[in-house]
Amino acid sequence: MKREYVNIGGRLPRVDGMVKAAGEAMYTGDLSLPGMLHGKLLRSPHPHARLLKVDTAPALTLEGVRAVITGEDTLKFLAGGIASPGNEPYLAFEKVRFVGDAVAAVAAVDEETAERALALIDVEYELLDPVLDPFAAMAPGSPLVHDDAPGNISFETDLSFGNAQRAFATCDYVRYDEFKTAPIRHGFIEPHAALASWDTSGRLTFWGSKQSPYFTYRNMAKALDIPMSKVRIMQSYLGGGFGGKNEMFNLDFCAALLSMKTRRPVRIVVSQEEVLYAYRQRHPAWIKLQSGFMKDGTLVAVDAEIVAEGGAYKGIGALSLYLMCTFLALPYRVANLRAKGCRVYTNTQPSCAMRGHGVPQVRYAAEVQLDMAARELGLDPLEIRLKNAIQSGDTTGNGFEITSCGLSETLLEARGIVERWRGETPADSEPHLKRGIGVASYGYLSGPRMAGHNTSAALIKVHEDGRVGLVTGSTDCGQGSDTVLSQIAAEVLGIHLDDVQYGGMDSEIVPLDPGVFGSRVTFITGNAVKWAAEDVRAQLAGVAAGLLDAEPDDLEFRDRRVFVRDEPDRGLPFAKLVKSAQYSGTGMTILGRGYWAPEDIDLPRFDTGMGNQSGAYSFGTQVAEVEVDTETGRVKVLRLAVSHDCGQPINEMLVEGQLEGSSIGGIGHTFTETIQRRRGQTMNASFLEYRMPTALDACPVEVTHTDTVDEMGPFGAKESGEGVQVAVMPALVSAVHDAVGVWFKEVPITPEVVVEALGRGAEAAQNADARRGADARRDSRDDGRSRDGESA
Amino acid sequence: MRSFRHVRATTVAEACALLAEPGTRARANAGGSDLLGALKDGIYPEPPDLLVDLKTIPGLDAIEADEAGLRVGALARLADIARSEPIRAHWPIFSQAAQAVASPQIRNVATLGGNLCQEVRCWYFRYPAGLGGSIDCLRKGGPRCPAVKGDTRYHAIFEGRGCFAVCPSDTAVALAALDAIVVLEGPGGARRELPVQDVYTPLGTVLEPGELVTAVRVPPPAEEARSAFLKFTVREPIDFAVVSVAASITLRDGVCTDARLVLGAVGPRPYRALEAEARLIGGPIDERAAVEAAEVALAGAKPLRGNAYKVPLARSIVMRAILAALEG
Ligand SMILES: Cc1cc2nc3c(=O)[nH]c(=O)nc-3n(C[C@H](O)[C@H](O)[C@H](O)COP(=O)(O)OP(=O)(O)OC[C@H]3O[C@@H](n4cnc5c(N)ncnc54)[C@H](O)[C@@H]3O)c2cc1C
Ligand code: SF4
Repeated sequence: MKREYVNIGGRLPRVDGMVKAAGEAMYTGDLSLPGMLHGKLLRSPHPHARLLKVDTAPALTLEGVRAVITGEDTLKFLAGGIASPGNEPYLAFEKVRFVGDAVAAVAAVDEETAERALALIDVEYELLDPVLDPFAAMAPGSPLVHDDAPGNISFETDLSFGNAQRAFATCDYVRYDEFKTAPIRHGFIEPHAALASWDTSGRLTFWGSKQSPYFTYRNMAKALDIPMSKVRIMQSYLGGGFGGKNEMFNLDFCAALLSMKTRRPVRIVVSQEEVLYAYRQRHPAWIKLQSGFMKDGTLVAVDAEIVAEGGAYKGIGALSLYLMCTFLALPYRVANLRAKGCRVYTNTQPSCAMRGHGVPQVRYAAEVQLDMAARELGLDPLEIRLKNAIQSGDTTGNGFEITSCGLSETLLEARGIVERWRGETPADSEPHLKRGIGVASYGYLSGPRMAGHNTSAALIKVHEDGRVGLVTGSTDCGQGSDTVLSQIAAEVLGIHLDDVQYGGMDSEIVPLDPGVFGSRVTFITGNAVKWAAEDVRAQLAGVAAGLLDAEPDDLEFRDRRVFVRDEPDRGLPFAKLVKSAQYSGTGMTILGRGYWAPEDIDLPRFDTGMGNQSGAYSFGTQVAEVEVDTETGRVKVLRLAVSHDCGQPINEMLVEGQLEGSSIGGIGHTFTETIQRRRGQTMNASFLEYRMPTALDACPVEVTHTDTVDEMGPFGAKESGEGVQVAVMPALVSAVHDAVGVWFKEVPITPEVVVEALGRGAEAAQNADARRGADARRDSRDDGRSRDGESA
Repeated sequence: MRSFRHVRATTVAEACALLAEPGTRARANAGGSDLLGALKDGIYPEPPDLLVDLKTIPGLDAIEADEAGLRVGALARLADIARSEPIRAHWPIFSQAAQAVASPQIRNVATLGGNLCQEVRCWYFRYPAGLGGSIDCLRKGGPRCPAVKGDTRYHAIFEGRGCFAVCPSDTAVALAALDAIVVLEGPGGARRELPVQDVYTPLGTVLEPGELVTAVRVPPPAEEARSAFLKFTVREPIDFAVVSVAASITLRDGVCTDARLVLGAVGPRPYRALEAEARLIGGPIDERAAVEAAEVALAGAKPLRGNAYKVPLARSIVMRAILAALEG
């Protein structure tokens, strides 16, 4: 049941909205310090080469150049790695592994001099054969990206519960399909930026563009071999992240090392082109998927083989692969699952987390295949989903504990939307314009449980005037967490959102925090803030109890007042209470402290996929309507709808903004976006040619919330905004199928792909590779693959 | 970006003289929306050492319309062309083509001369030097074209020779359908006029060193002329055409007496489909006529390995443009 709140659930404006809109918000690239130098990175033009010589002497002779560093000047720290040690140097030594790998860095008096100095660095390469395709990379005899990774295998996950092979034999209907997704980009507008200042006391002060500042804090200390407490990480405003700003990158390290060498502050801001070709991408995935059903649509067994292209380095790829495999267990009940994943090294940009983190790739495959099966079984796509929808109280075969779940409600809601849209949709207006509607569902996590430090914390300082300052180590990368966390503090303390000042990140005082990934902030940091605010309230209640001659438990904090619950007139203003606490007797310093992480959950195993990944799971259903121009192949997305369960929305407007942004992003992933490469070079490293949707490509998005409350979440809240990205691609692909009768098993579906597929016509061919009956076996996959050539 | 000299020209003659200065690699700079990007990306093997700013030449941005037709100075901004009342009233496809370019910010600085003379968008040609070195090609004076055997999805299906990059200008397509004439002025007062499509060659333009586009003249429209400009892009705004078509059709008593069908982004210059125009003339214009003309328009197309899809795509855009012109 929902409760009435003052600061929770409404449509409150973002706390950082005005300064951002006014252009006053300072991003890292806007900051400068007296005497600051400008840094630039020299990058490899080759996808794979041995470094024979890096001669920096000619660059050092250029006037205005203050320092040049190479891999040899570093301690050769290797970054990245979850579940096993990392393998990414901040500056290459021995080898370069992709076009864009950093080889050297320069600090100079201005950017132009730094740029000119790069050209003077003399690098001699011995070219090695590159591996540019994960299947070629796995083939015997292929060159190795990392000598200690035979077969170029970066990580493997093998998840199994029930017995999929045996279960297929009992199924009425089994089908096998192959899907492929493209390498895509986060598309944040603020490029990576770093400003570092080293001083004689041995302290490094660093401003970065980081979703998770404490990752950089730790790695910086290790890479420079200095105590962690000597690293002071500050965080300015962030211009988007989407998973692409979690890790510490080479520019962060180089700014710091160059500052150490020069004793001057050093700033490095990379260009948007560099972001696009030399930093991270979403894992492209090749997914072989077999699912078995009973006649009534019951999903019995799933078997998947996933190959994910990891690019040059490990990064956090083990988690990505784990998520790809385990999210075949959600959001539908399935008793038998085998998911084998393999992350493969190639000589391309490293892959990492991106909104949805691995899950959009596999769920695109799984949701589309579910629709294909529904069609073959003569079932409605919503019915087959309702039939299999996971319910609260369920535990998946690998151990995900579903404590609150509104999936079925979202499906019922979606049914109403589909019916309404079908009624509203006019008959195809022109013969070449075909309309179609598609649906897809998702489940997502509210903060991944990881080994190691996992706790979020918050500090609240109460000001003399009755306002409060709040800090946490979770950053706002545009998702609105500064606002949401401030709302939580305001609600507990019975003050207004305006009374809460959200402070910036500064590792000197802000408590340790894992940062922003896996949709963890509202759920985990939100609880920490709630505790911190409750701590403040308890301290103040003790004082108020004395002043009002009441029991602390009988006091209520509301509307900037504290009063006895049953006698609202017996009370005093919040500000006055604060003053009384601070001024009387010895005087109190009211500081609230809170920390939280879900307890008692089974740590996930990345290699087997077993364990509970999160304290809560969110759910939802996406509905999409498209219009396909069958002559030009252009697909226009007419409208989208999301019915979702994020528990109690803390701020409806922000939730809608997240759902809209995520949905529109999915339009790009489905229809236009992909990185075009030629021999390891990125051909479309600009926002002109890497076609992300613009506001004019967007469409209306209807949002409906279900009435679910998560007992563990702060005020009942769970994840929102990341999960929905999972369902956009399959909903759009099903809508296209509904319009023109072709299943697209590879994205993006660009106009030329559509034109070619429609030219080849005939849906019959599309289903040629579908297996029927109980005798389908894995070993017949080879001819499945060749017939799969039909699909686009 | 390499450093260069920058001179603000105050007359056409001065600009032409500067551009023709022996021993310098000079380039004209109008809005700079194309040139500066090309320089930043370091695409030229021999980057210019002198930029001659044309924006400081007074009067070159005039838009004048009278009975004799339209005259637009080379410095007229695309935003002004798009919203010019006389152009919208009498040469609407020119306004629409200008409006179809890029984004409001770019249209606010981009000039007509720059739009006509912009560099091609072939992604081999444009590959930024900073991303591991620029890619050499025939158009840059190199020995061969890496595109032909590479990814040609946005390349020519007509008239490619050696180079298969397409003319990227949207305004050129509309202007060609309006029989526009480009006025060129060069050093020493030299002056010549050419139909817009004749400005382009497979490897560049016919402009001599020191020569500038100074104006575009468009004859008055025939009274019964109707027209349409359609641009097909992958993304809605801020995208170059995959195919565009400008159609202008004159109908007297239900019979087509004159027609212009010009295809954009299919070849090194706006491609006039002369046979298809001839097919339309003399008959009524209906769906069948449009389909037939579109068929004829694409009959001679020679797609490359990776762009066969452009042929049916262009065919349907031609057909739609003819039908849209009827309504226009
Ligand atoms: C993101 C983006 C999207 C775009 N999309 C489109 C599009 O959809 N359609 C389209 O048509 N264009 C598009 N463009 C190109 C844009 O229209 C051109 O950049 C612009 O029209 C050039 O005008 P300018 O005045 O800025 O030229 P400049 O950049 O100043 O000059 C361009 C070139 O022309 C030469 N030049 C300039 N003026 C003259 C002259 N008078 N005589 C001779 N040579 C001259 C210059 O030397 C230079 O080589 C796009 C550009 C960008 C950056
Ligand atoms: S098509 Fe033309 S511009 Fe492109 S690579 Fe070939 S020669 Fe160069």
